[in-house]
Amino acid sequence: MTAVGRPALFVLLLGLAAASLLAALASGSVTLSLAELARALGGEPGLARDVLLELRLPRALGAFAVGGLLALAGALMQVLLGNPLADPYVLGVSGGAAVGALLALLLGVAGIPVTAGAFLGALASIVLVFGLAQRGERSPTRLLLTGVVMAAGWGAAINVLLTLAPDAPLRGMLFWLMGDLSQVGAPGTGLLVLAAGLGLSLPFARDLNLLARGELQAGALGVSVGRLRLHLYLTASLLTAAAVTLGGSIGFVGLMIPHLLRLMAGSDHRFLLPASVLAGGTLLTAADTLARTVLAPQQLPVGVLTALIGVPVFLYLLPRSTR
Amino acid sequence: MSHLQAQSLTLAVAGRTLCSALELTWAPGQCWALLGQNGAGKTTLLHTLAGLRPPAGGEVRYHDRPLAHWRRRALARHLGLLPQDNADPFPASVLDTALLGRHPHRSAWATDSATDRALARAALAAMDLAGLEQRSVARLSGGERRRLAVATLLVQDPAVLLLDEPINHLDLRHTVSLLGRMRALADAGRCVLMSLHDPSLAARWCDHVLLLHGDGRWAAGTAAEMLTEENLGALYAHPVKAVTGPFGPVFVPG
Repeated sequence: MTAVGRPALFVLLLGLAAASLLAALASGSVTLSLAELARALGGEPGLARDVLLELRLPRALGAFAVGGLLALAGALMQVLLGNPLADPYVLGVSGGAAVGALLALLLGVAGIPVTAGAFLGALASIVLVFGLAQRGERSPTRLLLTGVVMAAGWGAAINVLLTLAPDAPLRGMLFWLMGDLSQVGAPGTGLLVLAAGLGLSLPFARDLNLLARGELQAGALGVSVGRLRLHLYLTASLLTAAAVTLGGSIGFVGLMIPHLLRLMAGSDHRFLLPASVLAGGTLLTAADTLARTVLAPQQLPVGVLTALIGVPVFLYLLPRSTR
Repeated sequence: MSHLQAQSLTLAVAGRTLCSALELTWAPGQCWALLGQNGAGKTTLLHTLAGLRPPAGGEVRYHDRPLAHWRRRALARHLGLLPQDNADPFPASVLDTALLGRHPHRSAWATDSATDRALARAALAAMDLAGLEQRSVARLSGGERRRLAVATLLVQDPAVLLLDEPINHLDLRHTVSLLGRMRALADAGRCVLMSLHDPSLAARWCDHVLLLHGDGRWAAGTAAEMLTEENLGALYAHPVKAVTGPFGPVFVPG
């Protein structure tokens, strides 16, 4: 894969992203041909246009935004923790969000209060983990341990909520936990946060390349390590909070997409960050399209599909990487 | 002048004082060896001199300005550190690793220029790593990794080179070649301070020696003054005999 080079890989990712979005627009209870798609998008009124603009387009873009957010947050979290096995959820952000969302669902509400509950839970977890990790020696290991322990605590709280929940809200709660994009709503917020996250992290891409070699080496080569770590923690956490709020805890994307791209094209974050956004968005858009069409009208949890697509792709590429 | 200075510098780890009230100036053109037992504070001193660790007392100045008043990035154009160990949890190529040394010289948005790559290739060649540019760092041997870390420091091209056990993992030929290069850099006006574990190598390539006893005491001076049977015996708490070899004194443990 290394022979392909980063520019070619980037073009390939752009193509795949466009293809996944087109497939998402074309697939559903009514399958649209490319010509019908073009006519509907071109402004010809009719059922096809309504379906596209009001249902499929927001959902496809929402899925793309959530996938991009997760992959970007994962790439940042891996550098922050100096650990290629870190994912956006490792520090407990999704656990906090889940507890917030499940509490809202348990109270029998739906829609905006669930979103608000998830976001507040994520914020609470971010503040708690950071505050607790500030005591004593500040190191990536300390932060990782604090986050992992908090995540375990949230996990226990989730199980308590599931155990105590009456049957009526239980199904909704389980779906939320497995990741569910049917409530993703208007994609504007997600895309905006994604653009902001990329804008906030790209200027530091060179610094990230150094931090990935350890704090000492980064400091010796001119990186203000303390400031960069705080910036990374807040950016990655808020991106994760946004993703979890919009789509629930969708696994695999945030861990495997950055990892896969590192294997294919190395760890230059000037390439890795935008490439992660494209690849993460593509994977989640494709997974969501399958999730809502394979067993239609039944919808599968999208998190199951990301793993079903991602695991074989990853296992296929792993032994073929030259890095 | 671009001197590095320690002023009543005190180093402590976990409440234990390793070095107390160090007063010393490292000048361009000098090549210093830093000797001491394991845990005597050699690494702590190098990190403190690089501005990566606040001192327990006193201060370090470069260009007559306390390190704390320097911007991290500007300082990295003057002071370079070779860490004792290099972590590489993420896949990276040899060339990309050497290019990291250009970081303090380039803006955040700059892509690697032809000049950057030429400098990196030259440093790799100087460290006998030519031909391995596209190799993954994970597939290098311990000694090759060490030389790659030195190549990164050469690309950084600082006025003061602080090296933490630079010859770890190196074979005989590469040890001699590395120390010869450090000597040449000092002769060309750079300042070199490196921790070593072999006083014979220090005697052959360094002109000055700093002894750290690890209990607060320290001694510094020319290599001839410092490298005596008496001083080294006390430093290592083990008898040392000096014999005359073909290239100068050789110190043999008793």
